[in-house]
Amino acid sequence: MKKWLTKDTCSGIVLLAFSVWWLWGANQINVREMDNGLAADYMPKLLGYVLLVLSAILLATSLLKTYRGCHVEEGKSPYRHWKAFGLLAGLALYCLFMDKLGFVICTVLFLFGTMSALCDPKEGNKKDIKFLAKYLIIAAILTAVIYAIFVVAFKITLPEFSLMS
Amino acid sequence: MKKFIALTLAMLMVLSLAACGSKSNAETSSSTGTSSSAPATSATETPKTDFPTKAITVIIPYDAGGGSDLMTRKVCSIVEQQTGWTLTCTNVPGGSGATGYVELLSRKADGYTVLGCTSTIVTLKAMGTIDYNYADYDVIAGYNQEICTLGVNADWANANGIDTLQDFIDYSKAHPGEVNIASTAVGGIWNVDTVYAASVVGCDWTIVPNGGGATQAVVDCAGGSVQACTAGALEIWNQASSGAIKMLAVMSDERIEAYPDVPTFKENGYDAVGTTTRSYLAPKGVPADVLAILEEAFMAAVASDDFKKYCAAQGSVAWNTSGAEALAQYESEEEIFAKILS
Amino acid sequence: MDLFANALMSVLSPSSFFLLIGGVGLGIIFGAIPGLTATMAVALLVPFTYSMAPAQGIVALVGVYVGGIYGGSISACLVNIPGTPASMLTTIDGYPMGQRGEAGKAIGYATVSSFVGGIVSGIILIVFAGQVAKIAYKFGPAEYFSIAFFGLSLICAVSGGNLLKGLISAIIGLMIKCVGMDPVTSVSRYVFGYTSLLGGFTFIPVMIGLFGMREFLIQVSTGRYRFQVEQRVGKILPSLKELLHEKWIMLRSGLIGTFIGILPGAGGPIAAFLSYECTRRLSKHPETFGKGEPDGLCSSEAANNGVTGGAIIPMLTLGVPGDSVTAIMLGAFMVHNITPGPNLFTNSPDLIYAIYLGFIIANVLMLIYGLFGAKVFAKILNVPMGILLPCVAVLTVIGGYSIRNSLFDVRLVVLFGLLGYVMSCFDFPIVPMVLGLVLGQLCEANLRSALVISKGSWWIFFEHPIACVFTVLGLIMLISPLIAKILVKAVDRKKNS
Repeated sequence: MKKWLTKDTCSGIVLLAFSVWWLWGANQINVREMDNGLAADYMPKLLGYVLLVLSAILLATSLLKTYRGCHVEEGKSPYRHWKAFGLLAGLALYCLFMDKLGFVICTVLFLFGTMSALCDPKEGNKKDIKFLAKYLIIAAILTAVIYAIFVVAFKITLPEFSLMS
Repeated sequence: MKKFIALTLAMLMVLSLAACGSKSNAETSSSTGTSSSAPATSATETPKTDFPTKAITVIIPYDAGGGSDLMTRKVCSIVEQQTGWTLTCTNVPGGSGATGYVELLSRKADGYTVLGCTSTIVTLKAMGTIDYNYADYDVIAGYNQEICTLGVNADWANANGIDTLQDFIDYSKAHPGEVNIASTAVGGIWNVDTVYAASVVGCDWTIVPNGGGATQAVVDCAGGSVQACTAGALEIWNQASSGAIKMLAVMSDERIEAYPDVPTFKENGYDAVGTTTRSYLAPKGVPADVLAILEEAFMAAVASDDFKKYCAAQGSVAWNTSGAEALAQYESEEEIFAKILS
Repeated sequence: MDLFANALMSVLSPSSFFLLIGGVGLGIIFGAIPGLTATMAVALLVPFTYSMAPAQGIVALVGVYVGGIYGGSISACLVNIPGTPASMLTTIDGYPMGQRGEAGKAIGYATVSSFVGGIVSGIILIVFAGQVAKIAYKFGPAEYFSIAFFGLSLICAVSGGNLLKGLISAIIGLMIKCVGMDPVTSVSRYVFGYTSLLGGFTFIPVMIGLFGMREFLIQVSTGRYRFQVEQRVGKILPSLKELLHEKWIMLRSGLIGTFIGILPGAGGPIAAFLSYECTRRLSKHPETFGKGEPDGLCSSEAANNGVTGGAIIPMLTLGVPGDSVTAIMLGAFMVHNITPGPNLFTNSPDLIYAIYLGFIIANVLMLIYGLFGAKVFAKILNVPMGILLPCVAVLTVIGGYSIRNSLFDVRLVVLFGLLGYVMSCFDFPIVPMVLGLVLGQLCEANLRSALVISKGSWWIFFEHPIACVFTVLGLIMLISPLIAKILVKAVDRKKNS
């Protein structure tokens, strides 16, 4: 079973499903008829059908390759997905709390968290508080600089601390 | 001990940044750089109401740099000069204003958030795009009206002996279906006005919607891809002054000051009036006295010479009206639009 | 000559000159920070110009514009994130060069190309503005669609080898563009009640997410960030000989950029893409493109700065903006109660000359900034990635937020970062998708307008001469790979039998 679920096969299936959903969405459009031109659902439908065909081709060629066994063993993937998802979780929290805690606090926390997580283990033990403090200070300073540049100098509004209001 | 001090210092730094962040944000981000956030010195007859005590946010539901954006900011800057208030403008574009209109509804009705709208506040609900229209807001005051204008490609007009609006209408009736008029998107104000005009005039015009907006429509006409176009007066005049387009008529009650040679549809016997009306809105439920203060301030700004000159240069009309009058205008526009858009 | 002297005096007066220096510098900074764009810089600066004399204010804005479009190449080369949409194509060859330890060289190439592109467009602006503006008139909906179609057909080439996946990627890009209110009939499509989506997916957050956030995710996931290539010290900039080798590419790309800039509604990314493609196809060694090939880098950068001068032409002569930045500059004119258009040349010739002069000087300033700054910029890559990357992430978040003060847009950045990451994992190229996004508007809206004019007849795209040229070219581009494959297979079969 594992050998059938190659990258291309998986993406082919997902894309096929997506194009079906897309075509359903195209039917939901309340079209306003135009006298001569194309209606609002023309392009979405066209794209949906094209994608349907293309993803079918992708799926078919991929299955064929697996069947013929000429699929080259891809080797170990360089991606460590859990790391990426950890980062994503951090980013999601960053965005989620932005309107509650404001830009400054969230950024400091985010920078501190990410920098500590990304740092080289050679540089020091992560549990060591002196080590963490260094990153906290860097995070605070960077946030201050960014804040100064954007809000004070460029007058761009950024989310404020609003738990109270 | 050292680590503890380092940590505490860092924490203090962070907290102080957060504190001054939330305070200075209100002060530093003002639309024209004036940093005074002094309480209002409004000369109203209700001394009890202490409004405003902090900055007022003005939502602009259009892209920065566009016509509506600039006009709203102009009025805001005049209000600031006249009253000493602080007005902070933010752009929330999307969906011809829809995103901004919906955003306003989520704000508190305390008078500290207002929005500068156009006639899309009427059309969007009529088209079914959003569920809200002007009736769901408190209208503070009206400030500007821009007039729909008809222009034709000069070369084509000369080749067919078209000099006036009546010539154009006669030609269109003689050649049904041949005349293409470029306009904005279906449901856009100029497009709706053109459909309305077509029904009043009784011509079979093919209205070509243009995804690129009014400017693109006008360029199409100037270039000859279409024979005519409808847009705001200024956009057409820009091309008319180079001779590429002939400005045939405007859809207003009276001739526009800036273009005294261009007749109105009404003069020619066709009662077609097409405008986009700009006004200020607030979420429904603003206390009456606060509303009155806002109304007075905005009306004073609109009545100023500065703004009148600005509008005249744009070819639009400084429209100094109270909230109630603006509301009435939107109601009458809705009658027209609803028929066309449903 | 009088006017010229006056203009010279006004532009070179201490206050104006310092404004220009500051403006170009500011523009470069904004352009270089991913998420902040030239458009934003100009929009932010416009209120400050209210109190200045028109010539001063507008020239300052021009400086910001020129600097901004150039600035995007810096982050494109250093961290694989385009600082502005126009620099998207610069990442393709600029970043690999930086990863080879030649970041200074990359920036040097980018600087000089941008300068050449800008000067080429400046010359056309000054000498030919009036005549050339007429080109804008010749382009109606049919012509625009044919260009978009042609552009889409070229996408096969930026797929990094896999045609099918590139096409799928491009189609998805076009689909993303369909979300929101239809620009032609104002009907909601795929909105499902999210009013923030009514305007469609805001482009900048999507671009930042797909390039920036995705890059961050990949670096973290693969641990690549730990391996930092030592940047060259010593001869950092490309030699004069290397630069001269690129001269024809720079000139040609500058011309393409100018031409696209003149067309209202087509801007930096499209110009960079078309020019990159042109260079690649005409090159004797197309396989080196995408791996740090100077030709590619130069063509993309020269083109996107070529757009600057080109876009100013219709703005001044017709009162029609050539791209998003000039649209805002138009507004700045209005605030000073000046109406650009044919009358501008008769009413305010001194302003025109000041703008011309300011434009040229801005480009020179940009060259100076870039060449001297290259060393500094390259040093940025010596900062540990563990610190640099989170900062870049924060900057992209700010950039995403500040477009419309919307947290929704920030979430878009993260979402599209995830999408880009997933696409990379499954070997789908992202550049075709972004190109689909960019070309989508041009494509659909104009297709439908053109069909209304032709009363439903698709032949309009062959009847209009300009449209016909591009449509046929596009068809050839689309079909030729297929035909080539079939022919090759047939020849093989013949050989074997």
